[in-house]
Amino acid sequence: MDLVIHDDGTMEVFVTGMDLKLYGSSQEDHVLAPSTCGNRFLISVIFNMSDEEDQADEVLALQSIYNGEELSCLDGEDGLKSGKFHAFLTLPSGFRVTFKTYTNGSPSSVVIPIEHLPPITLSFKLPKNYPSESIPEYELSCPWLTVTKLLKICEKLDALWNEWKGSVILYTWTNFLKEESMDFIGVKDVLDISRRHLMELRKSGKLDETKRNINRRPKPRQSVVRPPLDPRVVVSPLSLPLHQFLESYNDDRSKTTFLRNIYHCSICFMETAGSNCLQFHPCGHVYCKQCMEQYFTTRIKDAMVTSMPCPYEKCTSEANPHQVKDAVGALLFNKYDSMLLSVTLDKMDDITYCPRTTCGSPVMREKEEKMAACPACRYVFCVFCRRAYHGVEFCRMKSVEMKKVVLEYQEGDDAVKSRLEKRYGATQIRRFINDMLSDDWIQTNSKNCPNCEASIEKSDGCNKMVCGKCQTFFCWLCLGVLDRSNPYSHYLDANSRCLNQLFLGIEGDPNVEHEHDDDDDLDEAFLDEEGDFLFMDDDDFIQFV
Amino acid sequence: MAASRRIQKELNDIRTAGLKSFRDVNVGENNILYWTGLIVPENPPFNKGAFRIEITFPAEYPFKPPKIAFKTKIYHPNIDEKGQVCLPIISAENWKPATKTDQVIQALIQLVNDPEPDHPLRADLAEEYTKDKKRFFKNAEDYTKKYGEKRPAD
Repeated sequence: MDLVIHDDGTMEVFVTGMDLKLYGSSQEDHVLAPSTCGNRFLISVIFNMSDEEDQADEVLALQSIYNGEELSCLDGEDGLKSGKFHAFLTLPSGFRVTFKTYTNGSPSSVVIPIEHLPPITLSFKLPKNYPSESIPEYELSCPWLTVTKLLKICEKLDALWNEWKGSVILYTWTNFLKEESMDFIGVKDVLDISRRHLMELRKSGKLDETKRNINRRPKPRQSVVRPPLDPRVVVSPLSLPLHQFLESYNDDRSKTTFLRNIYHCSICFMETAGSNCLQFHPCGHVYCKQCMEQYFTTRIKDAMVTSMPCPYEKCTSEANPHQVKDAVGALLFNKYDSMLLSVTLDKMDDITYCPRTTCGSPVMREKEEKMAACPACRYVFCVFCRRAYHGVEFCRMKSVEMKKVVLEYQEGDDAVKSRLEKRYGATQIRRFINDMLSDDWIQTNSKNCPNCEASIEKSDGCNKMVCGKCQTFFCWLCLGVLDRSNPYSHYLDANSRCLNQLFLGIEGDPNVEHEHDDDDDLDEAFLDEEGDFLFMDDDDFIQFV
Repeated sequence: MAASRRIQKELNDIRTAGLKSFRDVNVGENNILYWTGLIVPENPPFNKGAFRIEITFPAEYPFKPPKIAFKTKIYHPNIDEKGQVCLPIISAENWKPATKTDQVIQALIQLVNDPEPDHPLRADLAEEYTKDKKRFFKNAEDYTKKYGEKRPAD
């Protein structure tokens, strides 16, 4: 079969054979004009498709090409078809928006990486005699294109129409907008919006600082001809400065695209819809929420809370608290949050906690200052012993608490040590250690007064002792109370089991007579009945330790 | 179990890849969490033999790292007499769940080929390696010949 289309809209079909049928035309107004030419039929078919049908076909075709987000069409009350086409541009990777800004009169460049730009929007209305006679009515708008650029595009659309006059044009236009407009306006991988930004600054009155700078430049000649306003170019004001608008559009759009996409989770190796995924920033790595829940949970339970890094090898992106909460749920998140807070506060020298169990609020403290006041409950306490503030007196601390701290300190690594030092003070801890050692020493080296039970250490001298507290004389060996008038008889009496043992256990020659009076036997250290260690230091203070 | 699905996939990938320096991958009977394989180093002095390793995956894998141990004795500053190896990529603090066993093995092969004497498990060998490389190479080669497994023919 041969087919010839003529300029006047007629079509000739040459068919060999007798059984001629015409398929594929719903038209009633075609004319069959069979004529014989040898053993061939010649048929002229004149298609006289109406504009209305052309329009319907075109809209149908467009709807099958573009999705509902890109294209919306409707039949107006006036019987005219109209619609809107949003040309979402595919940007090259690494695309960015830049502009010059002016801080303190000196210009600096701002670069914003952008994946999605707002679409170029074409609104159209098809006149009755389109496409046979008239061009569609249209309007063009795009927040990031200048009026000049939009006008240029209008001119291009008009030119396209003129080229194809008489045939449907919408697809040619939409395709141009979507695929070629960027090239056409000369934007490759950078969109410079400096001029627009300057305009915005000028309008908002923030340009004062930069005025000097601007004035230095030669003023543009006033003879620049402003392009005539074209009603087809629609400029609607933005609520935000353009760069902010573009940034927030980009974020929103990234989110919606993210939710729609399918991602490969490199932890469970499964494909998951974006709506059930979590994305790290700025790396952009994506994992399924299920894996992230386990990942975060594992880290929290292992107390690795200081960072929640992207699970990708060597990637340093961090999950934000909102993402962690979303993945692990409020309960575990609260635990994580408080762990994180206390770890973070521990790292700060100037933070401690209110010791009241009902409060526990973080409290700021001055360096080198023992006193701290809780802002929540107003409790004023000593940062070392965590009891009520006690002025110049040293801390009184239960030996159990002290032991705990000292044990943790002695077994801890450098990090633990420095944390404890920050919390309790290095000097304080050294004192704890010394005290603990002396506690142990007392346990092994002290004896109790047979009268008042005070713990007594024998520092020097013979075995005749005087209790520093109740002044009772007693024997260090048998702990028997000695006669006040003649205490030494205890060591001379043949019936005494301590006979001749006045100097037993003393280092050096036991036979050397020590000159002693009662003061020599007065012990330097002893404990009172509550078990508190009484201690005589170099400054002659008696202190409770 | 999520762990075994991923491990199975990783196993398939590793077997399909057909690495020259890691082969003979076997999986424990009824236990996919236990692998053995043969490390075949390319660099002297370890290229005179091959080394059997075992990889043990914890039940929490991949949220917890796998463990690696050498079954074959090796004269190496970063691998101790018990076959324990100090590989940063699988240390608890560095572990990233998206890291694949394949990457771990690559890191291991890298470490075997090029010892890191700055972070040794055997200080004596590290010292020998830095101070008297010739002697280290000689010793390591002898050791490899004596204890190492036979290298595959191809």
